[in-house]
Amino acid sequence: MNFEDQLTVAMRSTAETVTPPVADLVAGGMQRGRDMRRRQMVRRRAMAGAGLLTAGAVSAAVLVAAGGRGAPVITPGVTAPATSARPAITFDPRAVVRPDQTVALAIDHMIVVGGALDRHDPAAAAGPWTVVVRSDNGSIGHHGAVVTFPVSAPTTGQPTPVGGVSGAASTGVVIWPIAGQYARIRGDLTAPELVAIAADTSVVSGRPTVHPPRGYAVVSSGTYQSPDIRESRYGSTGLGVAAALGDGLTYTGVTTGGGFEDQLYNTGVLTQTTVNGKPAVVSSVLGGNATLAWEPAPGIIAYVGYSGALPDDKAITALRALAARTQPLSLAQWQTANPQSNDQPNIFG
Amino acid sequence: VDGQRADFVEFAAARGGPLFRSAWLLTGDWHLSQDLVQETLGRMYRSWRGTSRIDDPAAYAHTVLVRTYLSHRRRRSNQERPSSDALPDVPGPPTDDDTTNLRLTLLDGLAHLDRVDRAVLVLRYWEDHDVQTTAELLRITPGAVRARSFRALRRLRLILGEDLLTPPAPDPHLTPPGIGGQR
Repeated sequence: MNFEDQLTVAMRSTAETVTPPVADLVAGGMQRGRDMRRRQMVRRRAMAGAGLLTAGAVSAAVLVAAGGRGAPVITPGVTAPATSARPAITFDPRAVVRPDQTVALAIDHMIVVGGALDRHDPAAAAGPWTVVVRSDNGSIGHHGAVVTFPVSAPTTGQPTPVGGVSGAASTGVVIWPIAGQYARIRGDLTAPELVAIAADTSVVSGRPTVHPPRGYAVVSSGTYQSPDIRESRYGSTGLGVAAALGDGLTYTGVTTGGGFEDQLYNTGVLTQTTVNGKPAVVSSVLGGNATLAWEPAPGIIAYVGYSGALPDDKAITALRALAARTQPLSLAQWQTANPQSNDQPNIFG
Repeated sequence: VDGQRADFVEFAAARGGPLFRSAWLLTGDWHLSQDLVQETLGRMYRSWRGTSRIDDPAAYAHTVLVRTYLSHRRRRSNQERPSSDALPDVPGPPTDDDTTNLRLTLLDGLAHLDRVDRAVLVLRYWEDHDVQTTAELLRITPGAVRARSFRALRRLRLILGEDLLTPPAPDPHLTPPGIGGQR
């Protein structure tokens, strides 16, 4: 089979593994279509009015159009599935949810109807498995590493001894044989540090276990992929952040799984910052143009991100402000938002 | 009006999946794919007067999708981020039981291409269009399609290797204990 034929097969395999969110696509497409029709109508009316009025009256017509600007349904560029014009489920701002019981987030104590998405990955529980390790001065995506087991055999890398076996080392990554398969450690630590942690890794009942050297601690362990990513989505215009983020989509959610931090080390972070005093990172790991992520509790990743404008300083400032507007939700609260559930591979990166 | 709406819902429900899969290959990003398909369906809905006015609504929707992708907020071009030079564990060919690796490898490779080159490959090898149709969809010449296709395939070969589907032979020095290799 030549390369072109293989590419066709590979594209089919890749495309067919995703489960398209058809209901959401239809609802969102119709919503946008309606918004486009309204904007078109407003433009036509404004043009017709302008044709009839004198130069002085043209100014008045502009004011009429400007009056329409206050109605979110005709605001140019509303492209996200949720806007402030749509009905919303609200949450009691006084409700307290423990950080380790946070399963989702809402901005401004509300989720727009149709804006809640539960991205469920049925295959996540089958592995691979991860252990997140950080140095004593580490934080999310910083001064740490992620051990993943099992992974594919290495195809590149310098032969490197790892606890009596030969592994393969590349920049920030070591892959070595263990328990009849391969494990990988990836992080921003030095090569000797990565090798030392790798050497302190064992596999028990098919899962990696790390007893890290002095100065390092295991932060969390679990699946690589997140079994559930619960995400609330809004129109950036409806949230009043279009000036900084563009007129696209703003989303916030909670995920788990060591894959997120592994991909932070793989792709790199755009910048490090804080959210409510906690270390946070801005990256493109969760898709969109940029996502700000932080840890409410070990192993639980909260995030707010967007697709729209370029991720410049203004956008990052807006993301931090949005993070401050988020409210943690329990599973019971989340379910009142009637989330749409999609089965899909929750692959980061 | 209700009939037109029902007609559109039926059309969108039938075509949403294939459009999303094309968008997934074009962008490699769940959010952007969703955004792109909703934008496409929104444009279709804006002028929807039933399928009778368009010869082939499904093909027309794919045309809208591709052209929207190419013009879709140039600001989002930053999504096509390059991978690190080292690509430390880009697995190349996948293991037999690991479709996840196949997806990451292919999408990783496609992410190295510019938008038009990527669209050329998706139209030619996923949507199975010939050179002439691809050229019309992208509003470029057939010669440009051939040149871009050649260039994109060459680059993919460099990134992914010649053999996309067969697992690589493991380095004998790295064969794990317990499966026939040295300890």
